[in-house]
Amino acid sequence: MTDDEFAVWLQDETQNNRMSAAQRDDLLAQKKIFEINRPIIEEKLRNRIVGFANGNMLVDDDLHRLIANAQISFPGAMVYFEPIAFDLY
Amino acid sequence: MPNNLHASSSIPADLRPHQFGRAKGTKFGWPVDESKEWLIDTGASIAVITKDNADKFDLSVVAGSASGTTGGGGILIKRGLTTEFEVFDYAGSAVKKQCSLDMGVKPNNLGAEILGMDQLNDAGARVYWDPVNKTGKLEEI
Repeated sequence: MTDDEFAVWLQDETQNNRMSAAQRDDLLAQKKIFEINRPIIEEKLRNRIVGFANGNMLVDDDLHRLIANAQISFPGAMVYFEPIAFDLY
Repeated sequence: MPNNLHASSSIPADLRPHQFGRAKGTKFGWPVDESKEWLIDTGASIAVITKDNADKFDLSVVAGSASGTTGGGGILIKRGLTTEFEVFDYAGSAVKKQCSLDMGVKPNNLGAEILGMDQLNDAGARVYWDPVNKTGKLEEI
């Protein structure tokens, strides 16, 4: 999914009240931070799940645990994540 | 031997295991209880539902990704849905298991409603599947 497709999807979610504008903006902001760090992430963190919340990188092998840890550290913050070099489903 | 897995009802030639179960949640504060045919996907780390099915429930988004799925599709992780599926207990009796872990939501309506390995792990269940005869079972470990 391209950046534009992702943004359009989040906009649709916002317009249909499935996500707030603040959540959309937060998720897109975290994605931008991810993209800045993508080269080093893809070089150093293969086969891990890497996320960003509130500008902070989180790394785990389990998505549920990564999200839980993000919510403990940054309550209410959105998490942008990607599994590096593997698929979730 | 009792079985609780079968081929897809919509695509009988599909070699993967399926089971009829339920998805439960709320919409505008009212209970919603939907019948679902789950694909038991051993290649899925998380459970995933299609967009229109997700939209039948009030779910809270907690995370998202523009990548991470086969084919490069995006996924939103949402909270508020409970899956229900059947496993056989130690005595061989059918029992209903419910799981309320966060789920993935697809950006479209393509493919199956997926019961991932996170849900079986949460339920303490394992899967046996015979693709030749298209029969099998979920049972407690």
